[in-house]
Amino acid sequence: MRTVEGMSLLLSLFLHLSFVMILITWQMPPKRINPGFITVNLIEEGSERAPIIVNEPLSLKSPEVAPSLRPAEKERVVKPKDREIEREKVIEEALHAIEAKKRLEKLARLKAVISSTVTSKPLHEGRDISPPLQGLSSQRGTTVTSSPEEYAGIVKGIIQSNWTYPEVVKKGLKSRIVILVQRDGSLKITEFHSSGDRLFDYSVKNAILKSSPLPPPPEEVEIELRFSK
Amino acid sequence: MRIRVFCILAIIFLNLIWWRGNSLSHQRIYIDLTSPNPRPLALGLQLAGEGPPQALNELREVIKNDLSYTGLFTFVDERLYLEPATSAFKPENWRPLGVDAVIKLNLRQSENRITVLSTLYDVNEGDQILKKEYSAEVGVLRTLAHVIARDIYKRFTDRDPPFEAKILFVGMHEGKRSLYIMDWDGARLRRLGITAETIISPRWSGKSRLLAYTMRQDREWLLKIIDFDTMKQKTVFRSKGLTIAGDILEKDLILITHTEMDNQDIYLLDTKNSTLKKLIGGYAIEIDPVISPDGKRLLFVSDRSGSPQIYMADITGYNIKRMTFRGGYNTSPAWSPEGDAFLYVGSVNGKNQIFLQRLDSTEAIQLTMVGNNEEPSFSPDGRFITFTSDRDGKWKIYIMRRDGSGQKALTAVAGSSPVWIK
Amino acid sequence: MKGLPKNRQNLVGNSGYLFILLALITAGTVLFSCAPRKVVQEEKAPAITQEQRLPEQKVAQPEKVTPERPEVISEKPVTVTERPLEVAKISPEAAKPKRVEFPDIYFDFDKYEIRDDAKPILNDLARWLKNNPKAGLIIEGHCDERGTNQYNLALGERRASAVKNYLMILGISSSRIETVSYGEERPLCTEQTEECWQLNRRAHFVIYE
Repeated sequence: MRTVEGMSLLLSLFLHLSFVMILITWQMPPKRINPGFITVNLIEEGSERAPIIVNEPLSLKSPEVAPSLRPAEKERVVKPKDREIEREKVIEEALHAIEAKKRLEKLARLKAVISSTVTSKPLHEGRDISPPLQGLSSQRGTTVTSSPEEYAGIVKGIIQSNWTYPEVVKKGLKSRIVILVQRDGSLKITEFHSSGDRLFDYSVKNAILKSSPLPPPPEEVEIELRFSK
Repeated sequence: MRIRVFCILAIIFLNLIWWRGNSLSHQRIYIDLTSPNPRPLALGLQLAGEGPPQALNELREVIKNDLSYTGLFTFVDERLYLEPATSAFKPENWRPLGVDAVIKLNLRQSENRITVLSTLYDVNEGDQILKKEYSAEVGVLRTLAHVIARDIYKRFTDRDPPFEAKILFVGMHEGKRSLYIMDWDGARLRRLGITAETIISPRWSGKSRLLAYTMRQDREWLLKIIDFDTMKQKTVFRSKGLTIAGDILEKDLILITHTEMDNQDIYLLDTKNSTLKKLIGGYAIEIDPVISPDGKRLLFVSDRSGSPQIYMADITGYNIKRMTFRGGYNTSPAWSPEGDAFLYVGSVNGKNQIFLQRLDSTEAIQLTMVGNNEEPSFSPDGRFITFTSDRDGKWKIYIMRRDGSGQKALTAVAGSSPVWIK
Repeated sequence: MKGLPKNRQNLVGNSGYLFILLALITAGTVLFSCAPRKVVQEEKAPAITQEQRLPEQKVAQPEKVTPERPEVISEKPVTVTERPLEVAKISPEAAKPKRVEFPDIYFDFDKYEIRDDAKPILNDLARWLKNNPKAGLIIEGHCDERGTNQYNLALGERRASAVKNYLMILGISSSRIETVSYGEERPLCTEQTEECWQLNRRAHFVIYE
């Protein structure tokens, strides 16, 4: 009698927990900042600083793209954190990070408005504008970028600059590659969807190989690269 | 009670982190990339081993010319190489030069034979990607070089290049016309032992390995077919009126232009029975039939509209459709091997120029600008076009890439009607 | 807890311990799932080339980019040979003797109609042929270099035919007249001027007996 009631209680608890968890996780935004990698304080720093565009960091033609270090950032630089530290503290920080990111984006948008009147360089459409990142000048290093979008922008710039193709005119070729970028920037090709054209596949593969190692990502991340003509 | 509450909360928080952690590690960023920089693949080529120096040079030059003329490859200057030819391949010796792949050839010679070991290394992968051995008599070293280049080309593109193809054309010899044949790069020019007052319209069928051509002899037009397997020829038709060879459809079936009752029309000639069947006719001039690669349609020239234009019809002779509308003098159609476009010669400011037009369009791209340019013909792989041009003062055989770039003369001697033999 | 019946109380007490156990199990699972990430972080990055070769084996579909395994030397090497190319000679056309010569007549561009300025010559020609019944005539049709060989052959043929028909109207038997087209193959001049082109757009007469 005891065991039966115990089992049913266990089962009911498990189901309740699962239900609760699903509710919570569904509410979470798809891209979240990993606790421990926070650059919240950036916004608070110098508003007198020149506006910066970060999406295509490798096309450093504009003098305005000035990667500069913010002392506050350094404090938050990633270190392999001890997972044994109280979870609650971690959760708290995570919640703060989410709020901070929202603030960051909001302020960045404001900055964009200001900068568009100040600078002559046109702002890239449809992209978040964030302050410069440490990892711009060096590919190897332990410093970190602040968000997956920014990292995507950096990776795009690097791979794009390494992508060459010997022909100019061709039909609509498409190649899809998924790479797994590890914390140190080394990458692994995990999926390769051929374009059907061997030369195109070769050019795409070379673009990736030449770009390795990438700058260290904020987190081990999977990138799906879609190459097309 | 407190313990219970604590445990519930703990479980919730623990699972929270676990879920979030997992979803993060599966997080996928999407990046779209388009418009790569157009730049040929950079290759390195090294030869090592024994062999007569002129053989090494010839091997090197043929391979370099074949691959670079395609426009897909470029060769890095040998003087910049860091790795000796005899050393093993190390990618770090090549990366600083910006080389994408390295070809290392190793030669061995025994009496009259040369053996070449060809190894292709990919610098970015840091590994060999092709290794093949070839042997040939010293006399056919050029052919050997073309075969090596072909395999390298195929490795990168999975397509067949025309490096081993020959080009046949009508040239002069002692005041008369003669058939000549040469390599696709213009080398090894030789005369076939056929000479006549007039030789026109050679046509090649790779499927049956037959060459048809027309000659005029003793006030008669003769249609001749050479079997390239036996190198023997025979006359399959003769007439007083004009008869010009068109494309060979099958071993015994050939399209021809033939004049009957002062009227030039397109016929199907059955060479086995010597029977003629009129395919496309009319009061106007109908000539120059060329069959599509899939054998279902043909292009021809007709002046039924008042001026010569290119028309298309089914192989049955029906569904005739006018294809060219630009200018008042369009002749000499040639199909692309894919069957989706054709070349023709149009008059621009009194000069003949070569145009490329897609089947689904009436717009044409002008490929030549200088002098008069005629008789265009696609290479079997569709990437190159041979033609004749008088830009240098006399009519010679020329070649260019499909987009009109790389125009250069293949012969120093006069020639016309180039045909790809493969 | 107090409100519950006695046996319930005992059960609840036992369930409490169960909860703690469950919590520990969950915690343990979480720890285990998180641990590998930590390991990856601390691991040194392996050599690039090794990293990248690995996934190529994993990929399911036929990897177009992965090089085909090299051909082993022990395989029979490719032998390259050439076919000889020689074809039997043909004797050239024998030349026919000429006697009387008549001037060429000329045509308009891309046309084969007989022009008025040609008619006097054709009339003379017809008269001479009638007076020399044994003689035969070859009419050659020529074109200027514009347009392509094949088309010009047809045009030249039409020109020669047009002249032949005109002479037949004047009473010359068709059996005495032969036509041949040379297209643009036999130009009299090669300058790219209208004068030269006009000279080439001609019908030429060859009398023989």
